[in-house]
Formats: sequence, structure tokens, C-alpha cells
Amino acid sequence: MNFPSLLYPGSMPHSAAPEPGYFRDLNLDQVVAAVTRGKREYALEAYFNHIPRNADVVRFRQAVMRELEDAALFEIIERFANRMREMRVKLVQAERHYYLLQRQRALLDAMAQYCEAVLELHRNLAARDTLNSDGLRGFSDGLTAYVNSDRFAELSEGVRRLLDALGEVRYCILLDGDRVSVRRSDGEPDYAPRIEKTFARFRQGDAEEHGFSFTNLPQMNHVEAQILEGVAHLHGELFADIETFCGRHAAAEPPPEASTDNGSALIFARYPFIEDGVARFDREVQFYLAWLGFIAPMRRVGLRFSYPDFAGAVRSIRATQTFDIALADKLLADEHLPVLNGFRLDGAERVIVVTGPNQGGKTTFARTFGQLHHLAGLGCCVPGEDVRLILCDAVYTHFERQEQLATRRSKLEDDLVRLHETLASASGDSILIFNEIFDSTTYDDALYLSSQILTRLLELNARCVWVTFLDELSHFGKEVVSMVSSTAPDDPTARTYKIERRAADGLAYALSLAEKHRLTRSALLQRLPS
Amino acid sequence: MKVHLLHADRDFDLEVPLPMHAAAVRQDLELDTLCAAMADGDDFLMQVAQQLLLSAAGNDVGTVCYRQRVLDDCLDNPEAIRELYADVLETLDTERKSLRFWTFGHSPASLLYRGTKLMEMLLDRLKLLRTFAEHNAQRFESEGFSRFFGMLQQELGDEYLATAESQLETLQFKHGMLIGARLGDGNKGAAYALKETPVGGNWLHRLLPGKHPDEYGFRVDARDQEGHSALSELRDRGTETLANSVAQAGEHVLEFFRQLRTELAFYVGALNLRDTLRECGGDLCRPAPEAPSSGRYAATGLYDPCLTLNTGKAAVANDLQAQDKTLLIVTGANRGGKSTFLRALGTAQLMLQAGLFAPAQTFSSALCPALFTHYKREEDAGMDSGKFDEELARMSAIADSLVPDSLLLLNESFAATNEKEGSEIAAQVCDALLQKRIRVVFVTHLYSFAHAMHARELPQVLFLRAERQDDGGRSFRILPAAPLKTSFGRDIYERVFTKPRGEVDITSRIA
Repeated sequence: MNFPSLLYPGSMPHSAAPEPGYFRDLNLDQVVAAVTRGKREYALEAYFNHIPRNADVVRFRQAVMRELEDAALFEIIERFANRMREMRVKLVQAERHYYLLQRQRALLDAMAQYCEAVLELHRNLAARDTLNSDGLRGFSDGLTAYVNSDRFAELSEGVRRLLDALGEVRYCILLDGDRVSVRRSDGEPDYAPRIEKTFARFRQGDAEEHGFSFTNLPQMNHVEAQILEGVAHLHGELFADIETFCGRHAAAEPPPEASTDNGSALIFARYPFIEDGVARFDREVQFYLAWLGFIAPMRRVGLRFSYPDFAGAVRSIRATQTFDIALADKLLADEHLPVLNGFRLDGAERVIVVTGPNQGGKTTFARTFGQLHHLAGLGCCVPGEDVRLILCDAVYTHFERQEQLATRRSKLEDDLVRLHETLASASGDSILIFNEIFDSTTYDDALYLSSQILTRLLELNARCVWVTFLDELSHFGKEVVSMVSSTAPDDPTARTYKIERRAADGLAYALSLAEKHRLTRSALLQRLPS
Repeated sequence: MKVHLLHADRDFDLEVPLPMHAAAVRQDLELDTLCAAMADGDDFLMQVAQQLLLSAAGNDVGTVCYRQRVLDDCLDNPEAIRELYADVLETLDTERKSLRFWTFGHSPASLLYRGTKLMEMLLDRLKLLRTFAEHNAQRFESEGFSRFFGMLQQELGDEYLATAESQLETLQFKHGMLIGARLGDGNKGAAYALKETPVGGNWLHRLLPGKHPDEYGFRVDARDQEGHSALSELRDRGTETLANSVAQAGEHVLEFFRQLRTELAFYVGALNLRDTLRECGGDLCRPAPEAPSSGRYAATGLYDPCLTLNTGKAAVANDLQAQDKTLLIVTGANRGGKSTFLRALGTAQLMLQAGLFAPAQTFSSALCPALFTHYKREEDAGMDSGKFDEELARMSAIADSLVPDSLLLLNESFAATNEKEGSEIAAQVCDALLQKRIRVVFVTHLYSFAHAMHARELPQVLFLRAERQDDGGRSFRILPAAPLKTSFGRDIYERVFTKPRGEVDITSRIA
């Protein structure tokens, strides 16, 4: 069967990628952790860590992700993934079962889940008129060929027939002292409804269900196992068929001892009934589902995402309505929205120098800039509208960290060594984020060092966001753009988290507060129902 | 069997979450005083009174009238109502003291035992209830009580009670248990259910020879402890549904008694409140609910019942006539009775909508789907930003819940900033509220705002003013009048600093 990759067109291999050095500074480690939460079995971190640095790959992925934004299609894939997950749960159970009759049932259930997953996916994809992306279309073609194969037909029909037969089985147990007798059922009526009927007139809404703590382990005790033997005795032919079928389709080696980099989901592909290409699709498509699922709550509250254009010859970049996605994820948990910001670097502009009061969102702004470039490089849609970025070859971050006084001198030296390395390896396609570097030196020193670095930066022609308390840096030249964090003019405690090219306007304090609370005439008229 | 003494078609739910703004309404209208009079020291009556008053906004005309008629029955037969309530309390007490223990049984077997005992006790109590109905039915005229008593007599006939008792006795298994099952997850048994055994107990014991194709039998060894606990688990699984059915039947009857307790508690509270207010000399009337969109208020002799309850004397009463008015702006003298008037209006509105009598000689008002209060939180709020911010945040939270015809009581709102800014925001807010048909009563010192509104001569706005007598004295009466330029703070200053102390005490009553 020919199933092409959904992440690496042209069967480009990818190496297991470690977490990039800038992840922590940009809080991308938190983002990836949140994105991959609940999806550990797919080991998606490698996909999110690694920017392919190849425009064709990025466009290929953007097309797939754009297509998966269709809610119906998304749900189709998610249903498939859920069925595959349930299948794996069943297989784990099967591997743990001690009694053969139980193991066989778990294997049948797993095979049924697999067949239903494949069939349903195929049916749902076929019901759609077209698939636009090369990635999904290629997979869909492979899936059609697979579903129509004899091998798959034999599997799916067989498993259905056997499970239906098991579902029909009814039996009675007569308990009398230490004697147990298993018999065919004669359709005797239940006893409880008679009692319920007598007392039905007292019904007041729902009464408490007394759930009893039966230990519902998947495993049986020996009495249950003996009863099951009895049931098999009453239905000999059916249970013989099941044994033959499982031997043919579900005989597998024990799982490997050591875990693999590809995630636990792929380990199950060793069962003969699972097609390799289906298993790989199941993992790779999770890259897209994970991202779209992660941003869905943000979209629901009105935050915008878009697919970046990549700057061509003009090399100007910009974004509006963008935000720090790690922060947004946290704020949303408390039902808050992040403040939206924008930036642009036109023509010769290369460096954004961010100054202004503390706690005003400067670092957040700088992180946003870096995050956007990494996420865009993955092929994801990114926070914001009208987003144009460069396809960067690397992101470099230098964030001031609180360190012990005693090590300060060597720390400055370390910083300069690191900066030197960065400037040596960065290119005109690199993104640099500096946050309060040289914060711990004297003002004059910091200014001198910063000027030197800035000069080199401009020679390099790389894009940079530089958060600093040195206002002087902001009028360094035409390549430098000044942006300022602002607070509400009459209320220094009310931060706007807006990073603006201009100074904040002089809105009256009260009215700006009213605006903040959406209590102006026009805001209220919009809010209140008619 | 349903109680339905508060709603014609459903139970009153004591647990339903109160509207988000209920806490503010309770504090601003000082409803605890009113509820305490209804409770007369009883925590449960207090809880019911609070719940019913604070959830009252939103009740429709049908509900209000339904309760008013039930209340009339109660006011006419106070002893019978109190006796019925005491009977219900005793039933619930019996259950709590002697049977609650079994709730914690962890097996279907113990649940089945407890359920059977509980049902036996409750059937006895239901018989008592039916007897009460037989004795009292003819003295009650409301739709609510007629239905209730009629239901008791119809549903609890002698024949039915005998059947129920005999069924409880059959819940013993003397010939073993026949349990049906199918194959569930992992081929484990599932859907265990106790089966009715075919007539003729000997069928069960017809042992088939070993290796028979239709039977597979085995014995669990006497020393096999694990095996025996597996057997008793099977029995438990087999009787689980049945035990649940019996226990739930008991729960349902108990719930009926609990519901009866809750709904009667409101009327018992009303009896208490009537007695107390009458002792203070307060007038009570049966208020008339009007359609929500009528924008109508009409009252004579309207007073704040909480002030009356606190002082033990009838408080100053006001009259009010307003038709098609969306916004009432109340201005005038400090300590002139504006807040008291606002509280009287809000409390009367909630009492009306709860189905109670009203603290007035006559009272009618348009029903509102929701009631909100927005009060200045501190008497002399400074200019600091936190307070204004907090005030606006509260207003914004209210705006989230406003629907047309809601009643919003504003007391000195937007005063935590300077007059100009406060007036501007007040005007913007009121403009929007007017357009969206929110009923607002606004007690305010913001004269720029009040004047600007007055100058616009909007037909749906009514201006009221706290009366100031020529000698600077206060009658605490609120009359229709345009806003004046000053709020007479100077009067009070002079009074407090230059007049004898006795007169100060009069005003402190209002605070």
C-alpha cells in the first residue's frame, strides 16, 4: 500500500529533534507542552521542535492545516483518532488477559475498532467532494486502495460476524448455596420493574442512583472464568471459529522493552491486522489536530489566526492583532483575553527597540515576535491577521535572567561570549530577540555595549526585537523602529499592555475606564439584548 | 405525587443557584431583616425565605397569582398550616434519627434492607397525611391546596396501600436466585438482572447430568474463600437493580416530604411576617402584578418593611404613580429618605413577585424578569481609582445579565469620580439602558446628569425629589419634582454642628 507522509512530502526523512535553545525564553516549551497535552502516545514534540527550513514543506503543511480547519473534516479525523486510541486500549488489555477466552474477545474488539476506524474514515473522506491539499489527497487515495483490498475485506467481515454472534449470547446463572449452574436463557422477565411500577407514583425527579463499588477490573476471577467456560460449552462452534480467526490476524510478538522516539502509538503497528501507512497517518495528522485543537478555544473567543505569507524580495514583515500564545493560553483558563498588538518592519527597517514602563507587556511583545517566526516555520497558522514574515533559518534569544551577585562579572563575560557566537552564526534570515541584556551593568557600559552590538546587528541585516531601558537605542537610525509600552494616562495601575509606535493618546481617565468596562453608550448598546 | 404549592406545574427548587447578583440585592435591600422576621429564629425558614425572595424576580403573573391564592388559604387557616408543617418535620426527623445509618451500607443487600424498612415507615406516615387531607380539604379554596389534598386522597387509597405493603414482604429469596446475563466487555458477564422465577420452584432444582449440552454446573469448594466472595458479588450484582428500585422508591417518598417541607416553609414564614408587621402597625395589602412592559408603578402608603421591623414602628410611607416610565430619577436632600424609598420600592417589588403581600395600602407594579441593585459601596467614597474601577466592574457585570424590562436600582452610582465625569458616564449608561427598555430607578447626586436629562423632556423619564420643607426640615417624603441644584449638604452640616442633638437622632434612623 502506498501512503505518503503528511508532514514530509517527497519522503524527506526527519531526525529526532531536541528542544531548541530559545524555547524556554519564548515560553514555547509551555506551548508545546500544552499543545501535546493528552497526546503523549504520538510523541509530537519532535514535530513541533523542528523547523524544516524549506519553503515547499511549509507550504505543503499550510495547505493540509488550512484544509483541516474545516470543522467537519477535523471531526472526521478526530473520530478516526479516537477509534484508533480505543483500539490500542483494547490491545493493551488483550496483552494483559490471563484467560484465553477473554484475550480473544479483546483482540476481536480491537480488530473491530480498527476496521470501523478505517471504514468510517474512508466513507467520510469519500463523501467529501474534493480534498485540496496534496497531503490529504495522497493519503485518501492510498486509503481507498487499501479499503478495496481483499485482505481488508476478509478482516472486517470476519470480525463483524463473530462479534455479532457473541452479542447474541444470553444465559442464566442459578445460584444456590455453593452450587452454580450455567444454562441457556428462556427469556424470563426481570423482577425489578414490578417493584418500580408499584411505587412509580411517588417519583419526584431523579433519585440518587446507589452506585455500588464493584471492582470492575477487566480481568475475571476464577468463578467468572468458569462461568464463561460454561457459556463456551453451550456455544462450542462459535468459540472454535474465534480461535482460528485470532490466530490468523492478531498473532503478534510481545511489545519491545524500550520505548521508541516515535511514540507508543506506533508500537502497535506490529499486529498483522494494522496497516503501517494507516498507523503513520494516525500519528502524523495529530500534528495538525493538536495545533488546531489548541487554538480552537482562542478562536472561539474571537482571537484571530492566519497563515503567514513569506516575505519575498521586498523583505518587509508585519502582523496585526497578534499576541503571545503562551500567555493567551493561560489567560483563557481564567477567562481573560490577551491584549492584541502589531508590528511592522518596512523597507530598511530591521530592529524594533521596545521601551517604556515595566510590567507593560514588553517581554510579551518580544516573545510574540519570536513565537510567530518559529510557529510559521512549522507550517502552522499563527496568532494575528495580515501576517507576513520571513522564513527564518534560526531564532536566537538572549534574555536577562536573575543570577547571583557573585557571578555577575563572569556572567557579563558569558553573555558577551554568547552574543558573539550568535552574531557569528546568525544570518540575514535569522530572528534575534534581546530582552534587557546588560541590565546589570552601569548605564554607560550598557549603552556602549548595546551600541556596539546594534551596529553589528545592522551589518548582519537580521531582524531583531530588542527590549531595553536605554531610550537612546530607539533613535539609532532609520533601521530602528521605536515602540513603547503604555499605561492608562491617569491610572498607572491600569496597564494597557499595548505596545505602540506612538505615545498613548490623552483619553480622559474616567472614560477610558468606562471603555475598559464596556460601559460607554455605544458599547452598552452593543452588549445589551433587545 | 407532587407538592406544587409554589408553582402550579413544577416543584420549587431550593437548590437552584441564585442569580449572580442576589448577594448584592440581599445586602442593598437589607433583606436579611425581612427574612429573619419570616424565619422567627428557624434556620430552614430563613433559607427558604431568602431563596424565594432572591429568586422572585422572573416569576410571571400566573405564578404570582397562584401563590397569592394559596397564601390566602394559609392566612385564613394558620393553625392547620402550622400543624401540617409540624407533621412533615416529624416524619423527616424519624427518618434521620432511626434510618439514616443504613444509607452507608455498601452492598445491595444492606441497601435492600434499609429501603424496605424506610418504605414501611413512610407508608404509615402517608396514611396520616391522607387523614389530614380528609379532615381539612373543605376549608381550603385555592387551586393549589385543592389539587394537593385531592391528590393525597386519590393516590393513597386503602387498596393501594395494602398492595404496596404486601410487595415489600415478598422481597426475600428462599429458593436461590436466578440471574440473567449476557456477554459484555472482555466476555465478562454483563447486564446482570434478577429474574422472576417460573412458577413451580422445583424447576430451579432440576439438576441436569454433567456434560449435558444445555447445562454446565460446578461447585465452589467450602475452603475457597475467593470463590465464595465471587459468588456473593454475583448475588449483589443480581440484586443491585432491585435494591436500587426499592431504595429509590423510599427516596422519592422522602423527597416528597422534603419538598412539602420546603414549600410549606414559605407560607409558614409568611404567617410569621404578617404577625410581626401587624404588631408594628404596618399596613399589608394584596399587590397587583402588571405586565412587564407596562412600565407601571402605583403605590399608596408604601413603606420599607425592614426599617419598620428594625424600629418596631411604622416607617414613613410614600405614594407613587407612574405609567410607561422606564427611568425614575430621584434627587433631593441628603438624608431626605431617598435610600429608604428606593429600598421600599425594591423590597415591595420582590415581595410582590414572590407571591407575598406588599408593605403598602395599595401596590401594583410591572413584573420584572430580573432585579439588580448597584449601590455605592461606601458612604464617602474618595476619588481613588480603585473604587471607581470597582464600581464600573460591578456595573459591567450587571450589564452582562440585563434583559429588557429588568429592574435596576441605582443608588449614588458613578459617584466615585468627579461630578463631570460621573455625570457623563451616568448619561451614557442611562441612555443605553433607556433605549434597551431596562427599568431604572436612580437615586443620584449627579446634578449635571439629572439636569441634562430633565432638559431633554423625555416622556419615559420621571423625576422625583426628596421633600425639603421651607424651614430646612425633612419629611422623608418623595414627590414628583425636577432636580434642584444643590443636595442640601449644607443643611445637614448646620444641623449636625449647630442644633441640639435630639434632632440628629431622627436622621440617623435613615442611615
